[in-house]
Amino acid sequence: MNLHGLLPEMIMLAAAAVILLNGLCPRESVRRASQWLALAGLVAAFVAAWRLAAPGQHAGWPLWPLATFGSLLASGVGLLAVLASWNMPFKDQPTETDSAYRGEYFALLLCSLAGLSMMAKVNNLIWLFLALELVSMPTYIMVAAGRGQSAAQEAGVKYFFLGALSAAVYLFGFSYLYGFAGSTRFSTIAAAFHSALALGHPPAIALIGLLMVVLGISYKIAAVPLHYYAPDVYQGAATPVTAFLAFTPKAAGFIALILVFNLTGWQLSSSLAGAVPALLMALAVVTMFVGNVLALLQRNLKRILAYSSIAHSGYMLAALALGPALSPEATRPGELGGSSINGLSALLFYLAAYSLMTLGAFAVLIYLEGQTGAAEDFDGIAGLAGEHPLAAGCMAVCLFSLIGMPGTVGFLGKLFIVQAALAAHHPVLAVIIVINAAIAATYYLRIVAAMYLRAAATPLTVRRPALALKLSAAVATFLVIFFGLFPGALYRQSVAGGRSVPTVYSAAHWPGRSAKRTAVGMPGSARAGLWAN
Amino acid sequence: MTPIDFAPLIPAFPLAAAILAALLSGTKLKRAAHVPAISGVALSFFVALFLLLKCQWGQAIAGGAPYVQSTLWTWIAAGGFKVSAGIFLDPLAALFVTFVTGVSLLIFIYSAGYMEGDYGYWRFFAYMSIFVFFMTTLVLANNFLLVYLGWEGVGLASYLLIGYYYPRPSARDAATKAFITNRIGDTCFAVAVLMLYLTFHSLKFSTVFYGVLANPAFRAAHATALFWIPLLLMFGAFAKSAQFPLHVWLPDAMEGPTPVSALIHAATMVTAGVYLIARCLPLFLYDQPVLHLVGIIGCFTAFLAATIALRQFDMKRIWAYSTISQLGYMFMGLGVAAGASAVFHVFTHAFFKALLFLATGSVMHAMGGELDIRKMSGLGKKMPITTVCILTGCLALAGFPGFSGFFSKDDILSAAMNATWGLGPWLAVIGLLTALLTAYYTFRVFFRVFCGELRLPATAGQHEPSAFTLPGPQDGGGNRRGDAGTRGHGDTGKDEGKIAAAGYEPETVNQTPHTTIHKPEIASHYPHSLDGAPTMWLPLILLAIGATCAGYLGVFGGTEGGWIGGFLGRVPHMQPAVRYVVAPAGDMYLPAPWRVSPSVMMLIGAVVSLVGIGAAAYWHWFNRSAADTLAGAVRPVASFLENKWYIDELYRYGLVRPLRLLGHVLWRVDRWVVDGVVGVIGGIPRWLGFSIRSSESGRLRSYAFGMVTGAVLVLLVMWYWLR
Repeated sequence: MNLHGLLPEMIMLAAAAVILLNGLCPRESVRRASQWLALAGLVAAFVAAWRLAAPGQHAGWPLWPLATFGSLLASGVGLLAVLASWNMPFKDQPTETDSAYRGEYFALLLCSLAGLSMMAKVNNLIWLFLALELVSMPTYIMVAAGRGQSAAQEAGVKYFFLGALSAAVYLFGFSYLYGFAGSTRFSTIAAAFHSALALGHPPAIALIGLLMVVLGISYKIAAVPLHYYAPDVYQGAATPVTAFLAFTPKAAGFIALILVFNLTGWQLSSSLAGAVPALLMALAVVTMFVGNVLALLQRNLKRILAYSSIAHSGYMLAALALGPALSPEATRPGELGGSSINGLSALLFYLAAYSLMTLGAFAVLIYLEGQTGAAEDFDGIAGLAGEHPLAAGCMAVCLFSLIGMPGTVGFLGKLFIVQAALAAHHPVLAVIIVINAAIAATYYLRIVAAMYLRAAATPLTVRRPALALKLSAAVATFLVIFFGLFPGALYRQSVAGGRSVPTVYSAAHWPGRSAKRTAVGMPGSARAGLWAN
Repeated sequence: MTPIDFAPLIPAFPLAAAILAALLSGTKLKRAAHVPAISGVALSFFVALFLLLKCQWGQAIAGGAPYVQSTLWTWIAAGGFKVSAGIFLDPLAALFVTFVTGVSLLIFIYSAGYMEGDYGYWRFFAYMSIFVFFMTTLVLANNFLLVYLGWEGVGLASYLLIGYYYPRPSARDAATKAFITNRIGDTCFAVAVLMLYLTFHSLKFSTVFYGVLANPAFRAAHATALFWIPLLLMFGAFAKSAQFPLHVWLPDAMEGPTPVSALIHAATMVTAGVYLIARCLPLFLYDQPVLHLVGIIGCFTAFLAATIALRQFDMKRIWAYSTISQLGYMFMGLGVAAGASAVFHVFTHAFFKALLFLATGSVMHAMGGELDIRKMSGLGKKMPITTVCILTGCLALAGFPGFSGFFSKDDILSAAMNATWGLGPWLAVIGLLTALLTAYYTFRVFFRVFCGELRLPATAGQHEPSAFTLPGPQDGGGNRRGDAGTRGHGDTGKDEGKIAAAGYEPETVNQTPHTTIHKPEIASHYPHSLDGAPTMWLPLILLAIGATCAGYLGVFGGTEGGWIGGFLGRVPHMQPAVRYVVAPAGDMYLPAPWRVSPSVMMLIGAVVSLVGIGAAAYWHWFNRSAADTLAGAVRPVASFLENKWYIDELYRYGLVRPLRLLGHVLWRVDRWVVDGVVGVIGGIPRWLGFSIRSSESGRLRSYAFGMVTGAVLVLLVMWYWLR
């Protein structure tokens, strides 16, 4: 891979640098341009990523579809996130100028997105760590600096300390993997796994290392057992930051997990190594239940969405646990009932779907709360349909999508995961997902009911309805419906990304010291059924 | 451009007209809703006629191929399942689409006069146009799913138009009944479509009919599916075409405005079932038991409906039963594999039945909504044009020699008589008996209403209370405005109030042969005759010409089956020779020797028709009291027929009531048992949430503790596993 492949990230980081400088300008009118610069940078990054995603680009590099999926997701959803944080950071003192820290905020946002965009392009544990932390570090500051309230600072501190803890956990895991393979290069580790699996099963050190990576990264994706921070942080942070948190670290974490499991060649099916996927599935199930049942008890909308974010991580973990196995029917086109989507493709599709629908829901909250943060609980949005029918409509569509109603992209996301589960002969998992979707419907519908069936307690006022906020809610909602009806483009990208694994590591793709110890993954025809059975 | 490229215009024009008519609703131009509707269907008709002529003399279907098709766009693409919207043009489709649009055009013109001043004028034309859109889609579609779209669409249009006078409970009930009855058939059709896809991996006609079907090995491999598909299609067709036992909705459908009865419930939509089976005849020809069942049920329905029509008194209902009966003939024709004869009868029937309905509409118009044949007599002198037209229609329906119905009915009976299937001749005999009854009940109406001494009902020349308008202060003036302001609940009047107070009773809808309360029209506007406006009698005359002459298309212009037979014969399974041999194992186009020659059948048919007309003339013109005496003498039979063989009662006590009871029981079960269980289950997640809620304390150290504990727990599990 040459530098050309890193064009989206370079654009983002360059834009971040320019915005940082721009934010230092004493003239407020210039500082106000920060958002526009961020928008322009992301549009350029998106165009670059789109061109890189064209067939034939970097065809020799097997993970390229996954990498471009990450770049497209980062820049595409990032655009919506910028629109949703148009007025950030919120000023709390009337004396403060309107955009004192605007440059910093958007520069950090772009850095974080650049980390996400880079995620699937790394080929080394060190780089993986750096990319993950490039995603997370800026968000710690964004949480704390997003608004002036003490709740935000508290959330920022919690998020940072616990994040450091989790980073320690997965870094520890990385060190075990290094100890196992003697290198931090992916190709070497994959080769080590391959030869160990060929002999029988990998040594415990490798498996424990793998597991600690999973545990550490489960912080990024807000999954059990490292999910505790999510509700507090989501509630404390300014809502645009919450929206950003619900998307960026989660996407980065899942792509990182795919990369890490890719090292094993998805071959962990022996009696011992099978523990890893089995634990992954167990964690997925526990995560779903914890997220959904705790969300039932909440009255604060941001906390509900935080728990819902945990629950959705559970669905995606389940998809990850299903792995890249394709159902045998998939090879017979035209056959009814054959799913042509594997667990990883379903995961990527769901990731994009979840980003859109959760961003849409948060965008409506941002639109409503203005400065006061009044629309944070059920009373705050009661009777919304009468006062702001369009906002209520957007919210309702996004919530229906989170439930998984047909016609929305959320439905297809769940459908693909369930299909993948059935194709991989895990009917119980499919049933559990459906049960959880039913539980989740309760609290989502409660929000809809508050908007449509209750009368407004106090007249809802929207103080500064910036056009960008309306636009972000509207565009997210539109995409939720659009991809729900015409999933073609998203589906193709997800399937390409999901099918690019298991990667066939070879010297041609990963030049360097490992040329002698080339690992060869399974040929395509034997992919099915070896993972997590 | 080849001719088929123009075919998409045929559905497109009515669709545009429907949208335009609906858009006019809010404007001052809503009184002009008939302009787009009539123009749309007229343009469609010309395109259809052009296609028909091109099919006959041009090169629309190149080089002797049975069909030509075009793909417009990909409609559905889901994985390997792909359906395109496309046109399938063969002589059958061309003929159907031409007469559908042609008859529609005449009825639209008639409606412009008939519906004038009605509240919801634009709505009427929007619905009618949308009907034509769906009907032409159904006929021109090149795959089963598109046919299904059209099929459901015409059902929807029918539902909307039967319930056009929705303030009236009887209209609402009739619409519901039609919809639910059709649902049974539609479900069967839908299952058939699914099975077709599973069997053929395609829904295209070209693939299904002209592909692997001819391969005996394929048929043997899919014997079960190939048995069930025609059977399910048959039920679909029977619901739409009102065949026993799903015929009960059609008489009630007369609640709609009369042009609707003429267009949808006589001439076109109800023949969609015939079209479907004619189209799918290749499937049926390889499924003899079902094909025979089609013939037997068709024959039985023809007889059943004809007997019921003997003792009905409402003119529109008599024509409704007659429609069922004639549709029975068509299915009988299909049952003996005489596709061309069946379609020929559809063609002639469209003319004379539309004519009868429209002429009846004129009578209704003049009589202030009264349609009871016992209350009127001798109208011939008052409505000369209507009388001549209706006489033409009656002669055609009765199979009077020389009129269209004579030739087409005779064609079917002759085909049945000469079928190699042993039961064929018996069907023909029952068909002849039915023809006798048909001639009798048809002329019973004619002689009762138009002959004898003049007797008018009390309502003649008056306004009847419209469903939508308050009776105006001076007769008529108020109603003509019939506008948004007058719509409301006050319109229901006294009778409506009573019905509403009595409660909603869907089953009672057949109990009262209710005259259709109709849009007001003042007879005194036309002091010289009661024939109505030129827009009303002009289509009548054109239809009368069609009813007289259409039959000759099946006699002249070809060796067997006339021009129609030759034209349709270009479709392989519609060849006249097919009628003699019903699909033996091998060759299905084998001609068989005559049993009774067609000319002899014609002679018998003529005699039967004349006897029926003569009997009707004696009892209902010259000696009416004798008819009453006769009816009194066979009272049980008469009341059996008056109550329509008690089929509605059978359904009510055998189906509706038990289902209702079951529904009630299930509701109780749902309420007490299921809801209770659900309540308990629904409580589990909440309870679970409460029990782990304390883990979210908000303290950083407890979070860190929880995270580390969780991670350690997971690692411990792993450790035990590895040991």
